[in-house]
Amino acid sequence: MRILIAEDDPVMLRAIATRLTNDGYEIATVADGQEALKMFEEFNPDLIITDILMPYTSGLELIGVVKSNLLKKIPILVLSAYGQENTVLEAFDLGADDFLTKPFNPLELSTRVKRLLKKISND
Amino acid sequence: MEDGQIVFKSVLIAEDSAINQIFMQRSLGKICGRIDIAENGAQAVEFARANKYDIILMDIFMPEMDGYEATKVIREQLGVKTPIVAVTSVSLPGEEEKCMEAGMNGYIVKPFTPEVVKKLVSEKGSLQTEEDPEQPNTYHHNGLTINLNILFQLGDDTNEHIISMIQLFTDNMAVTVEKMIRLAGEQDWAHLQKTAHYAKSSLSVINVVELFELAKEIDFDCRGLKEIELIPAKVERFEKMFFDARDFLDDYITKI
Repeated sequence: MRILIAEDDPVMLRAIATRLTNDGYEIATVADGQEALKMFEEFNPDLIITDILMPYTSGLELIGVVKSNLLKKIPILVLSAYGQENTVLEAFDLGADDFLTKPFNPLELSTRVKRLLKKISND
Repeated sequence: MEDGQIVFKSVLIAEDSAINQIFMQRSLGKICGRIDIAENGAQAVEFARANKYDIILMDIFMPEMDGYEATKVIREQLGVKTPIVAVTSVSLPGEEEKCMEAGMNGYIVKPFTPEVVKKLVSEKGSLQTEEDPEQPNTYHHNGLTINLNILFQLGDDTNEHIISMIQLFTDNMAVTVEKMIRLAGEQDWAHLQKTAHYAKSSLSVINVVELFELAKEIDFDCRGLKEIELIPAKVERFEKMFFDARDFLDDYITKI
C-alpha cells in the first residue's frame, strides 16, 4: 500500500514517514499541497495524509481537488492542531475521512492508517 | 481556573465518534497537554499499556470492547490506577453504579459543556489515585521538561536515527525562532501567528513541554490580538527556552 504525506514541518514529516515505513508501507513525502497534486498521478497513493496549513496549497484545497475527482476513492487523514477544530469540520465537509491532532501518539497514527486502508479494501 | 493553565498533562480519550472526538478536544485542549485518542475499548487498553496518563475519559458504548470491559482490563490485567471517568450520552438508571463497579472513578454526561469541564477540574484532587505519572524518556533541564518518548515509538530507535531526528529538530527550530524574533520586532502578528503555529509541529515530536505551551500561547495571542504588548517578551522567552533545550539536546546526542 502506498501513502502520500504532505506536511511542511520536516521533523513531523520524517517522524510520520519513519513510523509508516516501519509499518511496511511505501511512502512518498512532500512539503506542500501543490507538490502533492503533482506527485499524485506518478505515485498513485492508496491513502493521503495531509497537514492543513502549508505555504502554497493548503490541505483543504488538496482535499477539495482529490475528493472532487470521483474516479478515485482515496481516503484522506487530516493532521490538525488544537484550535483548528472548525477547520477540521470544514475538511470533513470536503470529504476528509479522519483526523489526528498534533501531538499524537505514533500508535494512534498506525491504527488509524490501518483502519482507513482496511475500509477501502472492504469496499 | 486560570486561563491557559494546564490541569492534565496527558489525557487519554476513548471515544468512537470522530465528531465527539473533535468537540472533546476543543473543550479540553486549553487545560490539557497531550491528548491521545483511542477509537474503541481495545485500543484504549493498548494505549494505557504503552503510556502513562493523568486521566482517562472513557466512552461507555464503543465497538469491539465497551468502556466497562476496557476499564476492567486496565484495572485487573494491567494494574493501572489512573483515574478513569465514564463519559456517556444518555444517563441510564443504574449506569453510574455499574461504572463504579467496573473500576471507574467518575461519571460525566455529554455534551461536554464548560461547566462539565470545570467540574472535572474541581474534582481532580479527589480522583487522583497515584503520584504524577513520570513519562518514560523524559528529562528535566533548567526548568524545562523534555519528552523524547514519541521519538522512541517511531519504530526506529537506532542511535543514528535518534541523533539525526534531534539534529533536524534543532536546525529547523533555530530558523523558526529567528523568524519569530524578526516578526515580533516588525509587529507582524499575522505571520508570527503562522510561525508559532508551525513551531508546534516539530515540538509535537521532540516535545519540550514548556516550548509547546508557549508556542500555543503566542499562536492564540496573535490570532485574537490579545495582550499584544506582552507578545515580544513571550517570543524572547521562547528563544531563551529554545537555547536551553538545545544545550540539553546537543549534550544528549553526544552521550547516546
